Amino acid sequence: MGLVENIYTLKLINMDERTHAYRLSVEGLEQAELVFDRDALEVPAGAVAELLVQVRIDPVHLDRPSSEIFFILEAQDNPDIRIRQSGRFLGPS
Amino acid sequence: MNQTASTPNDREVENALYQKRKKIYPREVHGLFAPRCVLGVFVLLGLYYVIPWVSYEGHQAVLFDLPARKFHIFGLVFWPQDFFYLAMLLVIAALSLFFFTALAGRLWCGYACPQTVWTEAFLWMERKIEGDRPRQMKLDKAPMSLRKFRIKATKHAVWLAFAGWTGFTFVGFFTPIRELGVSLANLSLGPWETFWIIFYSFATYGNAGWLREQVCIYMCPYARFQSAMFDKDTLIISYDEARGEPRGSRKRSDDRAEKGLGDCIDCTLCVQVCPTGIDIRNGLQYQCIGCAACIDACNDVMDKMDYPRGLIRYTTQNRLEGKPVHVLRPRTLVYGLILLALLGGLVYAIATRVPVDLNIHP
Repeated sequence: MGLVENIYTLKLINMDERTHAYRLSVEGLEQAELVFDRDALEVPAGAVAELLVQVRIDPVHLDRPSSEIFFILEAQDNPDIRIRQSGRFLGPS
Repeated sequence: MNQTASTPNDREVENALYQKRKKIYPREVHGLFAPRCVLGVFVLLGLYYVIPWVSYEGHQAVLFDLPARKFHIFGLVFWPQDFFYLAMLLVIAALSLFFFTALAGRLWCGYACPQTVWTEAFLWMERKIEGDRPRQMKLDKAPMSLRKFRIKATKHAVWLAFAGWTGFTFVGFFTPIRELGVSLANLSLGPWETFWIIFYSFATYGNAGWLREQVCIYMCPYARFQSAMFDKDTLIISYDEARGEPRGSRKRSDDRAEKGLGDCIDCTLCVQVCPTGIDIRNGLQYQCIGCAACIDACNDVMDKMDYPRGLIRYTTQNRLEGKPVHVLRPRTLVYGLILLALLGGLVYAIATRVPVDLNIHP
């Protein structure tokens, strides 16, 4: 059986005065796999970064057609700079 | 039909209603409140002219960078996404207006309003160049001469220079002021910078030099809706009619009770010092900006007459009527509490804000 994949476009704004390298993780779906370009998470001050993220999971682990997932973005050099946004993961109905 | 009918025609009505502006020469004042006014002028103008020159970590501390859509305030950078904070700030400003007006009337007008502050500065310059009140009035009545032209030209030149500096500083809040200065020196200013510098310079010169109290009396809405914000416990500037009337001049040695006179000696100094040209003895009027110059002038006279001070003083309508005073009342408490809550909320929100934003599509 193939994996189910959802593609998201994430727009990240570094509103700080310094360049930051961020960490992206996902919450709400265990066994979910995150695929994205790690270099894109180094964002200069005041810049907007756009990156494509693929979230893959074996449909066996999905118990409902639509699940809420959370993307957590954290600056590597400063854990206080942390944001958590929700999205939806759609599986086969 | 006979044209000389009893009902006036439009032109006559217009003439009766229209009053040509009489120039007001506010007399210089010293006393308890005048130094506070002066302090206010120095602090506020000082802040205005100095802040754009302050640097913070290599860049201008306060810069509202419109093209880059970022507002820098020292270490904080506000993006368009932070517009909510600006809206909160405006709500807080409005609420503090209601709060302070309910408490003590037109404190803003008399001590802090830019119109008052800049007009005071311009009046000071005028006084230094043309002389004190009697000299100014004499000069205006005199026919044009070389001397009069020279004095007036000097005054307007100084006014325009100060206004130019004001306009330049204003644009310096939006464009880095040091670069602006260099552009100005090289006469290489951009069209919009040029326009706004000239615009704000003329606005300052016109409002503070020419219009003065006309702004307060005719243009500012605060004067008109203040009556909706005052109540009988609001601190206002008032003439104690019971104590002062009947007014009349008398010798210092006279016993005023014997002569049937009140404390007011009708020196009209309270009228002469008033920047809006009213007579406070007629009661609180909408033109009164609460600058307390009349209080200082009258107290000075009371001292000379050996009468107690306070014939014109800060008081409340209730107190004048002999009723008890309530500073803490529902109106002030509610405004004060909401204001505190919003202020606290804004500070907390800005302090805990995270300098990163994440948007997820879909």
